[in-house]
Amino acid sequence: MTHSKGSAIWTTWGIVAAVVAVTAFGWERTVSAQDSEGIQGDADRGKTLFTDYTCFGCHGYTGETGRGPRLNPPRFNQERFIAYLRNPPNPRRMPPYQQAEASDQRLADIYAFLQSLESGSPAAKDIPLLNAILQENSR
Amino acid sequence: MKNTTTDTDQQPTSVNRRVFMRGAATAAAGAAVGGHAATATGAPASPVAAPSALPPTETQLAAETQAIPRTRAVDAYIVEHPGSDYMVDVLRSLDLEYCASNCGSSFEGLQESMINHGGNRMPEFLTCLHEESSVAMAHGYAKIEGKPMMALLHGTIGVQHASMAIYNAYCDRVPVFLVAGLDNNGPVAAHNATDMAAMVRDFVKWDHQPDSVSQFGHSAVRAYSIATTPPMAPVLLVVDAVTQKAPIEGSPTVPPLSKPHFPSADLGAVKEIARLLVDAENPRINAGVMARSQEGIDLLVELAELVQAPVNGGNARLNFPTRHPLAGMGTGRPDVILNLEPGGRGGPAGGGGEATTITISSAEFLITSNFNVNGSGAGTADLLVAADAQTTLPALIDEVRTLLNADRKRLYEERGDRIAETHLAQRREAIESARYGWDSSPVSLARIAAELWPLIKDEDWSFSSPQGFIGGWPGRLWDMHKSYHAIGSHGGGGMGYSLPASVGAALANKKHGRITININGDGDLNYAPGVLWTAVHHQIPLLTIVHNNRAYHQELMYLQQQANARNRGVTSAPIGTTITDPNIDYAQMAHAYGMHAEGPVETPADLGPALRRGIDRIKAGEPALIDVVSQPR
Repeated sequence: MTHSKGSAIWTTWGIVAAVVAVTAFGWERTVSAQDSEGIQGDADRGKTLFTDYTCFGCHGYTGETGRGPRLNPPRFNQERFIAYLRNPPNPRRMPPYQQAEASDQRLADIYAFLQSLESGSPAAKDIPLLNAILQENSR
Repeated sequence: MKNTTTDTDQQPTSVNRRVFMRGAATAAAGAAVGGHAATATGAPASPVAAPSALPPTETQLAAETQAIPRTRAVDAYIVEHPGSDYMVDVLRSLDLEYCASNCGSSFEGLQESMINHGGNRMPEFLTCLHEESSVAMAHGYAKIEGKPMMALLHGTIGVQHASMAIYNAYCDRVPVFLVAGLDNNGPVAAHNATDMAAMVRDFVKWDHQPDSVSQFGHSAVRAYSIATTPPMAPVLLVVDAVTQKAPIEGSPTVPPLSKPHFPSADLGAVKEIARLLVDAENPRINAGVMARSQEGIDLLVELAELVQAPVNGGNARLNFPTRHPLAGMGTGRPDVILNLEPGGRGGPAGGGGEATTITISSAEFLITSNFNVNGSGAGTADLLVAADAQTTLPALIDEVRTLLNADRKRLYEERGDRIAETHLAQRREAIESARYGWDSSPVSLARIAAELWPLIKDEDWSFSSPQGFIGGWPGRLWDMHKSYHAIGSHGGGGMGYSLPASVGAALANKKHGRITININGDGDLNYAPGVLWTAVHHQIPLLTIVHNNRAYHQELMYLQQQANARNRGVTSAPIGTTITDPNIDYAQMAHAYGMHAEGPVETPADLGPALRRGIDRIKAGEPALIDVVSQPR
């Protein structure tokens, strides 16, 4: 097999580009959502990001309260979760996270955090205060 | 009379000051001679104690018993019958119980008349630490008591301070009796204005600057009538210092208060609305700032039950009992929608789709050139009636009754059953939603509401704060059916309303023996927290639970959306929107104002006992505050 001078040059530039990319973005992956299946997420880092990205604002600190849908436990798998964050169907309600720093890795970290959450939500029938309210008569 | 100088352990029994002073002078003379007072026989008696003060001179004695001659300057200065005394007589005739105010030199004449000529009652002077608090207190008071409170403002700067609260009350259709002072000879030139009311004219219903005492009487009565006739709103009188302080002769008469009948829809409109409602297959009623009193709620229940229509009560007032089977949006698409006093900000308005929409609103009489107080949906309906909705309801109910027949009633029964099922399902759904985050820390808003309910449900209670930022949980879980169970929101969206309005509401509730609960956002509380002191000073029992999410949370979410819309700054939204670093200790803040307070409560297990202690305090007649670190929404 012979290699042309041109292909050698492109190979060299490719290596340089890869080094630059890794240097600029750290060791995080910046691949598209289609390649995001199976990213190892870090729940501790995800907890910090859940606050930093103001996710708690609409979903509560434990993903169970607030105006937005419950995220505890997550409704989607990781791939769909990341895709949803990138392109939510109603961006005026759920804003898209397209910033470069909101990488697939970081969104996977948030997903891992949501998976790690315990539910602070006993069944309503096991909460005497709520049971009592339900039993009170209508007017 | 006994010689008090020989019987040192006996006190003079007479209060005759002249004789007493003469005796003291005699004793002093005796002491000067030899330290002994002579008896009638001339023999020296026991030693006398030297008097602790010098005896009065003849001039002083004369001053004690005779009128003090005045210099000409003093005579001109003293005014024992000032115009402001008459002003207080007028204010009293208007049944104004309280005057909330932060003191100011431009109305010192009126204030002195209130506290001395009026004896500080009717109205009683309530000391406020900010004019915004004064007006917001009057706002909350009026929504409970059904009549205005007076708010007294310093000229220019006081009116400016108060302006946001005036705007809130205007948007909320609540009467406030505002009086502003004007002193063109006052110490600060910048506190004067040629047209004092100009800065707030666009959001007061009427203003006037009477130029004489007698004109004040007529203006005040007219202002009260205008404020308390729908559409109700604040009114403003500007009272200059000269009129306050100049002497008046005799006792001018106080003009009588004459109030108009409230505007009701005309008979033709009533007949048409009734026909549309009776013939509708799936009507719905939306209520905004409709019910001014319990009567309004009762009338709406009567109408809704007649035609078996669901009622969307909104959040601007308690218009309809929250646990009534017809409460809610009902099912399916409505074909006729009746809007009763849709509010510009909070009330449901319009209809949409293919429904025939009917709007009865007194807002059509309230025109402001500059501010969009009635919202974009104002003035749009298939049938728009300029009238007061509560006043119109009796005629509408009578007309509906005349149109009902057995067939329609049978149809309504089935419809009513469906609506009741939907209502019950919504109640169950609310309970199910409340369980989420039940044991979480920070504490969930549902948990706060659910823990409060058993503590108040057997009391005569009142909830005084808006529900928009707390998920509406009190309305979703509590049995609200009396007009004072919920008094709605700020009207104009001005933050800083909840705490002072709640203090005003609690003041009104106090004489009825009711307890008042306020769930107050931390951002809202920080605007003018000095009203906490006012509550303590005037012994106004109010329980404030701080919904402490450590942010202007609405803006935090908006800013995050904005950053994402611009695809940058994913972590920068907390800049300018969060209240952290340091965290504010609201219990310490309340302690500084002399109020019982606890917190921060950070876990749900600690919440119930803290709330119970707070309730015990307010039942004992004191205000209290509990700081709860809570979920954002």
